[in-house]
Amino acid sequence: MYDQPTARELIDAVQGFLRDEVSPTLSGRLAFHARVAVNVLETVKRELELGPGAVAGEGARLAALLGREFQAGERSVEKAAIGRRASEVEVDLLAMLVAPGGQPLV
Amino acid sequence: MGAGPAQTFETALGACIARRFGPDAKVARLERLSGGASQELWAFDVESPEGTRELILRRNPGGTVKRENAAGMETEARLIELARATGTPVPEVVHVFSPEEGLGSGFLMTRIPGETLARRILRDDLYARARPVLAHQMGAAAALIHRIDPAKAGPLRVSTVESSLDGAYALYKANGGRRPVIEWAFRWLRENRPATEATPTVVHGDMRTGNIIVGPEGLRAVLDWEVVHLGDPIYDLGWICTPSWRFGEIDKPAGGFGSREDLWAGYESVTGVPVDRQRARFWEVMSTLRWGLSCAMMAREFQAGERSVEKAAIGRRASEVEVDLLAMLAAPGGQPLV
Repeated sequence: MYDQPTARELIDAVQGFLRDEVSPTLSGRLAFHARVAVNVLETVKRELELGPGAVAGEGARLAALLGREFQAGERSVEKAAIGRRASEVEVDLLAMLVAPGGQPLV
Repeated sequence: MGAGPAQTFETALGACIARRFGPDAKVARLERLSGGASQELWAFDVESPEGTRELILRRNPGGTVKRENAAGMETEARLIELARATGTPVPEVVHVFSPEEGLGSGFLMTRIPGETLARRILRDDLYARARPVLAHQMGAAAALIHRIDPAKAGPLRVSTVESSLDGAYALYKANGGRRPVIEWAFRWLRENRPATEATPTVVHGDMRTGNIIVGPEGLRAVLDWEVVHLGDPIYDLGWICTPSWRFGEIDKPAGGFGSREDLWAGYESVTGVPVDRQRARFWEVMSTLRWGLSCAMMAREFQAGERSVEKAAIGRRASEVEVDLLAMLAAPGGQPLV
């Protein structure tokens, strides 16, 4: 399997291309959208880096909280129910459900 | 090549300008500024023997189709003029399109020089003197908008605390409705809602950094009247403080440039009545939640086939709002972090 350059390096290359070669030739709306595109790729890089750990961590915390394992699909349903039940002393549970950097978890 | 849509638009605009400003008036330097599929914003100059006029064109090319909650172009134009009459800093509407002009629904207004980009307003040296006075000025401008006589405003959508909560929850459910932080924020809002409904007031609805023109000396105009409606006036003060409109300057709750206290002081300088702090907090949390739901809706629209990179990016920001809500409501010791 060919895996070089890495996914991260490929994204870096596209970001650099948009920022250094494309953007200077644009103005107005297109220039703005090019900047948005660079930021979107930054989000993808963060998810590649933090996503797997965040999802695993959430699964582990949820299992510890509720005393059983969850399939990925039923997790979001269970989390919504916790949100409705939470009292002020339980708010740290909610904080636990949000991953570092605010990445979506499901 | 036949006349494409762009050429038809330019021809129709040329004819409109000749009718409005005289047969010798010509359109020059027409440039599309922004807007999605349903809304367009253009800048251009009118050149005539009397000189050059710098104008902005705002239109919905489809004519009658409008987005949910949009007041409609004619209403926007009317409300901008009513706001001008109360002393609110706004552009001057110089022409409203009629259907036979072939330009869709929309209007022309004066182009006020200045900056709209949040990044520049909040960071560039050029606006260093503007930033400390903007919160007070935004508060005062909101109060002036709230002086518009609702009886003169014509038909407007009406919103209350109750309908805002119900509408937001319905929107959340329609978008999937499975987010614990959002559920919990709804519960906070229901438990902390204002005890009484406010007298229905003309509310701008989207008053924030990004929708204002700023010069080195401060606020020059309030733009984007798309969602003007009747509702609780304190809504406008809450919306300005939504964390997303701080554009990274999270320690400055009012638009990323000032404090809530300065914003309220500006408001009170016009009304003479203290802002109800509890009500302001309710609307700030409500606005934050509402923005999160708007992001989630954009994510759904993107996934349904509206392939815009901007829509994709904003859609993903729904997760940021969850962090904001936690920081507002779930901070250790009950002291809000944002």
